[in-house]
This record gives sequence, C-alpha cells and structure tokens, in this order.
Amino acid sequence: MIHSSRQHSRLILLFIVGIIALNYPILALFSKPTKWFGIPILYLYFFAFWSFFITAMAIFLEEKISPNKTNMITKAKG
Amino acid sequence: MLQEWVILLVSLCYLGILFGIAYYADKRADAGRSIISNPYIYTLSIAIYCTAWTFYGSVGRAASNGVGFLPIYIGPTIMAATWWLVLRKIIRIAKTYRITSIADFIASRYGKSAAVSGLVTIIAVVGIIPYISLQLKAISISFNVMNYYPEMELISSQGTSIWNDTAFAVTMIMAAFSILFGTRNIDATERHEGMIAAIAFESIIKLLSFTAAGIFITFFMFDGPTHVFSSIDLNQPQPSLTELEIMPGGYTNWFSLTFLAMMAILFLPRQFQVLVVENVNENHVRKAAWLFPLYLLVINIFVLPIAMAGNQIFSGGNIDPDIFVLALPLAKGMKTLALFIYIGGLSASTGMVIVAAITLSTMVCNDLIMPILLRLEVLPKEDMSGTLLTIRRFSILIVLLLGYFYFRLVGESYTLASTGILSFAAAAQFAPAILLGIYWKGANRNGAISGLIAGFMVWAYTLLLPSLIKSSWLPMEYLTHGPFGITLLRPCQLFGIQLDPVSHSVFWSMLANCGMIAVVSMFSKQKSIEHIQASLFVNIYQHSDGARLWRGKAMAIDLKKLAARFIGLRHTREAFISYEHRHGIQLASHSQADANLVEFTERLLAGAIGSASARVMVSSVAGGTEISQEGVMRILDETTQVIEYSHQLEQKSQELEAASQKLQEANTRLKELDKMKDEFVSTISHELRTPLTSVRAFSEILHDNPQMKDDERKKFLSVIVKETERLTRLVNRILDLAKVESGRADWKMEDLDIAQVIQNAIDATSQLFRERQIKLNYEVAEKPLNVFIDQDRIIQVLINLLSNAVKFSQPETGKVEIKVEQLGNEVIIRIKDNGPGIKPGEQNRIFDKFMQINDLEDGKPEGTGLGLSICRRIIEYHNGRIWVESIAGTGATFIFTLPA
Repeated sequence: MIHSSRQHSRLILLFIVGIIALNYPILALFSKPTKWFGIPILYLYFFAFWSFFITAMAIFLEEKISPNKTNMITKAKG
Repeated sequence: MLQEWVILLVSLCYLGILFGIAYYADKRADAGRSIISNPYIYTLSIAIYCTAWTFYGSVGRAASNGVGFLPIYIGPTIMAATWWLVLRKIIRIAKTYRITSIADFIASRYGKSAAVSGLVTIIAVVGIIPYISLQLKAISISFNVMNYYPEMELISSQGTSIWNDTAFAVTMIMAAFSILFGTRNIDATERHEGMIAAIAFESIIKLLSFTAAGIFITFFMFDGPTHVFSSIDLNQPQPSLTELEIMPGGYTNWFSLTFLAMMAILFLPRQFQVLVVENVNENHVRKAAWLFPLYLLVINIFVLPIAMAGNQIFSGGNIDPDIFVLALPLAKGMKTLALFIYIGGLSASTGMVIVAAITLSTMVCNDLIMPILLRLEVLPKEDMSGTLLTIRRFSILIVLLLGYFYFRLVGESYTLASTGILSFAAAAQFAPAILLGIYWKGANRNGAISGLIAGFMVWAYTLLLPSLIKSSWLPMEYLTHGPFGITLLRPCQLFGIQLDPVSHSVFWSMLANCGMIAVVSMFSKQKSIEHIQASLFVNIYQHSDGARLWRGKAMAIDLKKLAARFIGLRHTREAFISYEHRHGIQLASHSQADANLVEFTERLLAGAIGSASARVMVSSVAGGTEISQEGVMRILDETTQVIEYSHQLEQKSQELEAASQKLQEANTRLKELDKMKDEFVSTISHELRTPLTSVRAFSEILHDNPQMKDDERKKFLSVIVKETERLTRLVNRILDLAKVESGRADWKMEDLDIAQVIQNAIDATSQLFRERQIKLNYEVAEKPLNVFIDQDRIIQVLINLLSNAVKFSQPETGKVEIKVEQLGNEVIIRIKDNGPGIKPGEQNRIFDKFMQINDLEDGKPEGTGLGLSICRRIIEYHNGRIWVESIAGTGATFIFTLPA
C-alpha cells in the first residue's frame, strides 16, 4: 500500500505539472518568432516536454516493487 | 490521376483484409486463445482516437494555426497520467457489473434507470453525428482527390444528387461493412474481439502511412525540417505561425480544447468502448497509459512539417490544406505512396466509423429501444436474439445516414477539425455524471438527468445551432441579434460573454451541467436502488463481489428460459453449466433460484441487452422484490463506513475486554498477596512476642526480686540470653526470607560440581553430628554432576536440611544418609534420617512459613519455622522442586532436585 499510494501521488503531481507547463503563461515564454537550430522554439518546446512527460509516466508506471520487497518494507515499518 | 477501379479495388481489398483479421480474432477468441489480450493491442485499439481528423484535419489546422491542432493530443497525454487511478476504477466497475456501453455505465450508476440510459444514448447519437459526418467527408474527399488530382475543379461538379455522390456511396459501404462486422451474432459477452483486432491493425496502418508521408515530404521533397520551416516568415505581421497567439481565441481556446480532449479521450462513446468495455485486463492500463501518448507523439511529429511544406508548394491557395498530406505526394507523381497514404486515411476513418456505429447501435438498441419495447410488452415470448440483431442493424444504418445528412447540411462549410470539436464538446457532457458518480455517493438520478439535459441543451444551443446557421440553413439574424431580437441570448455570446465559440460553449455547458448535477443532487432524495448503486460504484474496491440485491423468488428454469430468449439456447446452456461448475452445485430445474443465480442471470443478460433492460427482465421473472426499502437502506447506506466503523469498534471493545481481564487477574493476585502479607505479619508478631514475653517476664522477676539467689538469678539470665538469641535468629531468618521473596537477594550463579557443594555443607555441620554422635553416610556420585547454582544458597539449604535431620534423630543411634544421582535432566539429592518421621497430613505444610511440628515428645522444638520455607524459595528459584517422603516412625527423606 505504501508503494501504490506513492505511485498515485507521483502521477497526480505529473498531471498537475502537465497542466501548468502546457498552458498560459508558461507557453507564452516560448510563443515567439524565434528559431533554434532552424526549428521554431514553440514546436521544440512542445515535443521536448511531451517526450519528457511520456518518459516520466513510463518510469512511474513501470517501476515495480516485487511482493517480497514490499513485505520487507512493510515489516521494517511495522 | 489513378484509375478509379484501382482505387476502388484497393479500398475493397483493404476492407476485406480487415474483415479477415476480425474473423480470425473471433475464431481465436472462441477457441480461448485470444490474440488481443495484451497491452500493445490494447494501446493500438485506443489509438482509434486518431481518426481522419488527425490524418487529414491536423495538417489542415496546422497550415493556418501553427500549433493549434496540438491540444487534441496534449489533452489525452495529460489525462493519461490519471488513467491508473481513474480509468482503472471505471474498468473495475464496468467489469464487475458487465457494463456494455457508456449509457449503460451512467444508467447503472444512477439506479439502473432507463430514463438516464435513454437520455445518454440520445446525447451520444446527436453528439457523434458531426464526427461521423467528418469521417464520411474525409473518405469521399480523399477518394475524389485520388481520382481527379490535379483537376480539382472536377470534384466540385460532383455530388449534385445523392445517386452520384461519392459520400453517399461511402456511407452505404460503411454501413454494410459495420453491420457485417459488429452484428453477426448476439454474444453472451459485451466484448468484440474481432473488431478490436481489426482496429489495432488499422492503427498500425495509419501510423505507418502517415509517417511515410511525413518522411517523404520532409526528407525527399525538402532537405529536412530546417528546410521546411525556413518558409515560415518571421518578419511577417504578428503573430506568425510560430506563435500560439495565431489561434483564434488564443490561450483561452487552447485551454478549452485541451480540456475537451481530456474529457473526450475517456468519454467519447467509442473511446469508452475500447478503453473500458473491450478491456481484457485492467493491468493493461499500466502500459497503455504511456504507450498511447507515445503513439500520439509519433503520429504528430510530421504534422507541422507537412503543413508548412503544403503552404509553400500550394501557396496559390487552390488546394484545401486538409488534403495536403495526399496532394503533396501526388504533386510529385508518387502514385503508389499516395495510394498507401490514402489507405492510411481510409483506415483512420473506417476504424472510427465502424466502432462508433457499433457502439451507438448497441446503445440505441439496449438503452433506448429495448427498455421501451419491454415496457410496452410487445416482444415475442420466444427467441429474441433475432429481434435484437435487427434493431442493431437498423440502428447502424440510421446513425450513418444521420451522419451523411449532417454532412450534406453543413459539411461543406466547416473544416474537418472544427466539425470534430463539436462532438468533443458533446462527449464532455458525460464527464460530470461519470466522474462525480464514481467519487461522490451523493450524486443522484435527478441530478444526473438535470445535469445531462442542461449541458446538452446549452451545447446544442451554443455550438450545434450556430453550425446550422452558418451553413445558411437558418437565418443569420439568430447569431447576430439573438432569437426574437433578444441580444442577451445570442448563441455565441450568451449573456454578453465574449469568448471564442468553443470556450464559450464549454464554459456555459459545463457550468450548467456541473451546477445542475450538484445542486439538484443536494436538494433531492435518492431512491434505495440509487443509494445501493452509488455505494457499489464509489466503493468498488471494497466489494467487487457484487451485492446480492435480489431476494430470489424465481425458479431456476424460468431464469434459464429468460436468458435463452436473449442470448440463445447454446450460450445459455454453456453459461449455466459453467455457473454450476463454479459453485459446485447441480441446478434442479424446478428448484428455487437463490439470490446468486438471479444476480448471475441479470449480469448475463446485462452483457447482451444492458443493465437497465436486464433489470426489468429479471424482475419480471423474479417477482421484482429487490429488497425491502428500509431494511437495505439501513444496511447499505454508507455501507462501508458503517462496516468499517463497527469493525473498529469491535476490535476496540475486544482489546478493552482483554485489558480488563488482565487487570482483574492482577487485582486478584494483589489481593492474595495482601492477604498473605497480613497473615505473615500477624504470624511474625505472634512469633516475636513469644520470646519477647519470656524475656520480659524473667527480666521483671529479676528486677522485682533483688535478693534472689545467685544460682537462680544465673538460671533466669541464661533463659533471657537464650530467648534473645532465638529472637535474633528469628529476625535474621525473616530478613532473609523477605529478601528471597522480593527478589532483591543477590544471586551469584555459577557452574559447580554438586558433590563439592555437599562436601562443604557436611564440613559445616560436622560439629553437630559429632556432638550428638549421629552417623553420616554420604554416597558420592560416580562422576561429577555439574549444576548451575548459587553456592552459598544451596549450602544454606543443605545445612538447614542436615541440621533438621540431626535435630530429629536420636543421639547415638541416629543415622543420616546423603545420596546424589542424576535422573534425566535433573540432579536429585536425598537426605534421609531415621527420626520419628512426619505424618502424611503435615508433609506439605512443613514448607509453609512458621509451620512447626509441635507434637514432639520433647515439647517445643527449636528453630524458627522459617527454615524449610526459605529452602523451598531457594530451590524454586533454581527451577527445582523440594518435597518430603516419610512413613511415620521410620524416619523422613527430604528430596530436592536441581536442573542439570
């Protein structure tokens, strides 16, 4: 339970970070007629953040603690 | 230009392949070897989210709005972070109660109400029609582009009547295909494995073909993304395509679209179908939650490059940006690639159309028409599965035709993307009823109905109506001056609020929807069935076992017949046999059905005809006694809290009881100790008084008779000395005993040979033996016997026992024996004398405090009466035992043991 509730709060945090990072006013920082490496920075920002978001989600969701280990943690706490 | 028959042939072949895949997957599923039961197929089936809107429409939007197409994909990505929490709960609920559609889900939550399921179905159908029309439009346009490019003006001359209209042909083909696909038979299950396999395949095709188009356009027609983006003029009047402000409505619109997409990914009827109803294992959500956003990311990477490339190459503006992705390869003469891209677009549209049509037709049949037919009681009594199929087939046809007519009405004047948004906003109306429904028990049927109606009306008024007006089917006056000239009611500026049309509609419809559901729920009462369902949904993780709500009055055979009417005889027989097998029972046909079986039948039926209808049907057989209202209210009202609470209470009271019992024990022990102490004190005072009295008496005599004779005086004084000695001894013993008893004595435990200890004791008492001329016989053990003892204390015991033996033996004839041996894990020490012995009745009591054997021939014994008591304490401290064996007249043997 300790593990799953921590996983849940991480996902909720990620959700909030996503909403903030992909809305006004953060977006306004990149909404400029400027290019980096020949690509408009707004486009770069979107795809970079998008990739980060997916990676973070994959890490949070795929991280598993084996049942034995969970037991040990619970025991240690108990 | 490609030959028309080539395009047609390829299209039909492609549909044939899809059909083959579905057929194969169904076969495998029947054989119990599902090919869709893994998170990857699940992810690909969710990718049905990417329709022609994505395939053609995104590029169209990007060409004029830059990143304006992105919220549709950003929203689901953000939402995916909550899937493991929210979606999993929805899936668990749907699986537990065999939910067949989103209408079924909402209706089931709000008391299995047929009114709710009908309402949701109507909203879904009306809301999705624009979306279907979008797909039909995309298919027919792409077909025409393939057919006529580059002579685009030929396209507009097409489609003057229904009969030579490509879109109508497409509609008919799609309808036929959906009917073949989704309504071949009525299954006992709500899942369509074949359909899922086919759309997973389509998701691969559309991703591959769009990526192929992107790579070709970006890297072969241009020299990579830098080259493509060089066409963007950064110096043009603000804002440029690299800025978000170029979107109409700016950041507000951005936020509204993101919100709509977040809701749409879960609550579009077809998304609900693939995400929830078709889900095989809720653990697949774990992978899909990040793989699906990855799919979205990949399919969107080339949207901006393609759009910018199109802007550059077709700068004349005679090509609709929605078809850039097809027109660009055609402009370079890449016909095969174009055909592949066309197939990708076809798969994007067909997937959506098929699933939406099947989903909606199931809803129309189960949640709208069936409840009405059941109420009217016009259904045939025999096999109904044929009727169900017919209803579903007609529903598919009607839904697609509605889509076609909407396309004819407004399709031409709207881009693909803006048509889709309309449906998204409609699907979002389900969000409050579902999300509040699974987390807030208070949300009730009246609230849900009011919220849905209010939200839907506002949506229709602020988005659907303007779309009809703008296509000049209604007078423009409505938009500019409001109905009947009331400017406050202008559909796009309701009450004078100035927002972009989408944000405007989202704001007002969500306000109305959430507001009504919350307020009405708070001010109206729930029926008991609603109460139960609310509790079951919200607390799904606590009771997945389902509640036994039926009080069975039905016969098993009746239930069997009922099920057979809807799902056919074979499926019913199989289901009931597996039920018997699972519960290890044999259902006699005329036995009374228990609540479990009634519940089982209801769920079985729910899989085929939806929960609202299933409930009506089962209650028709089971007599409709669900449960007594008040009784269940009391039990199920806040079920878990009460159970949890009472559980805790019970635990607490158990703990209390245990504690109080311990206290009671401690109290009894204390009382005993107190009594013992009282006895002890009174005995001691008595024992002390005896010598004191004699000392005092003799002292007084001496004091009162100063002229007493010397030898008499001497005699008296010697008595006094003796008595004081006795007194001293007594006090020492008492102190000693108190020390041992209270545990304050210092114990110096060591490993010693018992023989040595006994020898020490014998040495200490040898003087006594000599004085009274008593023989001592000590039998030494053959080998050393080691014991863990406090030497001084054990010597004290031995001296005590030896001096007792000497005391009670006759001088000269007396004989004392000491014997040591090991028996098992004990060392036994015996001290035997040949004195008068001890009567059986006194053998135990001599170890008590102040117990002395009084009836000795020579009167009052010496000693304090504490010696043996102390011995017992010491031996018990060593975990040994001490007792006496004796036959009166032949002597006594004191025996004690020590653990070896």
